[in-house]
Amino acid sequence: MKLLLICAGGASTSILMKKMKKYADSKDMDFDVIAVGLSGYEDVYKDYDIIMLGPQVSYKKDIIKEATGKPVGIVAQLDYALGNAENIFKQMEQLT
Amino acid sequence: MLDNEKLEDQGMLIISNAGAGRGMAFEALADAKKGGFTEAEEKMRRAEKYIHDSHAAHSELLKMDSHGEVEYVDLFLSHAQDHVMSAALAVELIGELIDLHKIMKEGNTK
Repeated sequence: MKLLLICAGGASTSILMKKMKKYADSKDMDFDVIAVGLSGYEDVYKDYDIIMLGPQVSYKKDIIKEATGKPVGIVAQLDYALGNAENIFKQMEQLT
Repeated sequence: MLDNEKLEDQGMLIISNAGAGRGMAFEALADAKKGGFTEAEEKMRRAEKYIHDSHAAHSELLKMDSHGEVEYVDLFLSHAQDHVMSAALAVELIGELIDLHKIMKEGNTK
């Protein structure tokens, strides 16, 4: 699965990205993830299966969904803070 | 002394709460634009709570620093500070914008 993480600038989601990669590696999952900011997703989204948004850009969900036509979810605040990759993967399963 | 990971966790706590507050406030503004003032008010209350929690996490970090527990401040923590400040301002201003929407829709009854 290829995941595109979007937040305002791409910095805090890159921390989450590291934690999700680590989790996927530990479970031997076929998984690829990249973190970008709001200004960067339009160039790359075509290569990804699913999009998850940081809580700070939750209000852009409808716009991004319409622009990309991909399943779009919002990472819960607590999962985001703690980098709870397991919960986020569960949430992604429900989306696809 | 705090290790790198603890500082990063504290930074993420600040950022995620600030972010959730900011996102929630913009959702409230979208509701208010459509005339959904009850939903907007509820979302603004939640936004303010997130901002409060973000500030609390930030204060905790300052407290740790004043006790000499923070060895260094990196760009990530400065990024966290950026989040909490811009989110707090967004929530405050959006509160005013919602009031304006209300006045335009319902007339100034105050």
